[in-house]
Amino acid sequence: MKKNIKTILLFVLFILIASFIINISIGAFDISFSEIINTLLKPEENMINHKVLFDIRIPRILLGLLVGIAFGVSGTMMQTLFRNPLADPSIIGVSAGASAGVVLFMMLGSYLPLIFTQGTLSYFSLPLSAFFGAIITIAAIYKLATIYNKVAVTIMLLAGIAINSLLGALIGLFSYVSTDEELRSFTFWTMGSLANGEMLNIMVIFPIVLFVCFFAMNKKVELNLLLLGEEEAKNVGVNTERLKKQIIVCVSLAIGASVAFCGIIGFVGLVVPHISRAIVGSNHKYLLPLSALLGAFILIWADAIARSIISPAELPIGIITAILGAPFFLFLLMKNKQNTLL
Amino acid sequence: MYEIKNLTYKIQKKSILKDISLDIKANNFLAIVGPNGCGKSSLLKSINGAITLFDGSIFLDKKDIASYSPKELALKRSVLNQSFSFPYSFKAIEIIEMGLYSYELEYKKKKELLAYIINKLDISSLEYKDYQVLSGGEQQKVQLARVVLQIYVSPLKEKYLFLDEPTLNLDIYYQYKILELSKELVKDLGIGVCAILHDLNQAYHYSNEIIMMKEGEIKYKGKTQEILNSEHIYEIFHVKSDFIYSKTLNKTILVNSL
Repeated sequence: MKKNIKTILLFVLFILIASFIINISIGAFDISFSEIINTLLKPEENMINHKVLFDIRIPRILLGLLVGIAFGVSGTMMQTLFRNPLADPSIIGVSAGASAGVVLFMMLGSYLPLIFTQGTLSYFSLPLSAFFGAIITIAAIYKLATIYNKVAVTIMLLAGIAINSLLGALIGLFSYVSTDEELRSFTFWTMGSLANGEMLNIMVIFPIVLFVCFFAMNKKVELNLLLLGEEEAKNVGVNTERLKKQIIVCVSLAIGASVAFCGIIGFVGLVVPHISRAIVGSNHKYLLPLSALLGAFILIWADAIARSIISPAELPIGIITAILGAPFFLFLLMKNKQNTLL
Repeated sequence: MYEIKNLTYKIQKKSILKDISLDIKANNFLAIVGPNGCGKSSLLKSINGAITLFDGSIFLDKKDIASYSPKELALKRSVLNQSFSFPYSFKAIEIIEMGLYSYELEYKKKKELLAYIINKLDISSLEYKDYQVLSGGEQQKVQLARVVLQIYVSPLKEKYLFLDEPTLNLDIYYQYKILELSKELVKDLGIGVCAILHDLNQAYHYSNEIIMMKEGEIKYKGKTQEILNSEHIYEIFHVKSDFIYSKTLNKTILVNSL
């Protein structure tokens, strides 16, 4: 059994690497494999190809990879923290909270010293405001939804609705004070896009994702125990108070960084852990790595669809993941009708 | 030894526990009995830090319970609560193994201990089944195995086992099996068992000491032989009772009737 699982993980890893390579050639500007090899061998003869590959395409795929891992791993941790398969960052409003942080920052931006909004520091101030938006949201929802050691699913989902409409209001407000061009790029951002794939963004998000993955794998046993319920996990010897805070910080970091650079990409954190669980079971030892791999896989293919379906223009990736993910959410609701509601 | 003094707990101004003081000793079987809603579960939860107290103090081996880390406490006592839901599918054996979290054990030793407890509770047929598809009684057995394993492994000399209705959902054979096992843990390992029981005859046969609770207060406490009598039972439960000697069983049986 364990050997099988390792084979599955290796197989998915192989598919992911293959997808990475295939995706390099897909896009508004088609580059065939022979051209890619040519470009790699003789960069000076293929300047345009080289530029497209290294300045646009590869960073974009890398960003997709990292954001996919972030969503897969943090979605899994959220579903464990809330002990419920419906706890997805976009559904319970964590992504919206992070976006609200970003929107607030943008609105206040003109009043802040330029150093925060332009230049290198802006690469940190956006994810940081997204992080604060996310962490406030998760902490508040968790506090609201836990009653006597049990998570009330209705409250969890209702809180998501409230936070999503709060974000809607903030965006509405923002649209009054911004220029047309700002608004267009902003709307595009809220629907999710990997177009921000540039090396500096990747350098900010990479250590965060690495840290979150490291934390999650380091706490795989404790995460399993948390499934017993907070009280039981504590009785067995887990420092649940500390663990809960650590999970909330890590999830907020991952979601915050993803949202700051790529906007709201919904449902990946819902769908990925669920599929992974169906394949390797609920033990975090296998669930976390597979969720990371599948998250990356789904995101780079969703992006491939997004940038090739109406080429040369592109769709926001959030639209693709919502079209695929929302029906899946409804399916989960149907399936869990008896035991998850109320 | 647990020294519990003046425990008070309220939910929205309604007193659940009123000024409760008691000692829980190792090498002893303490039974807690009382009607529904008299605060038995709340008492167990407050002793184990699952609910925040309004007032009172709990000392374990002369140290405030709050000063122990979760891991230190896990070596001192294990707790079986009522009703368990597990949100995702896990094998029964994986859940039992969770009881070993606080111990650094080699793979081989782990296997041995798991085999021991599974054999002890006679649940080898459940071992590789998905916990979610088990019946209520089977889930109870798996949780019991986890909880008993946690305290069985502990190297400490004085340790405690808290059981909130361990016989819940179990058939009569298993009810006695669990109680026998608890008694064995007291006798062989000197564990202090503190169990909430509903069956007064079982409390009569298995406990050395008993606490009779009503409306958030301890009405009677002391040696089971002295405290558990028809008069007190009537006062607490409003049922008549009698002690009858059975020749076939060679035992005195406590029977109740309205």
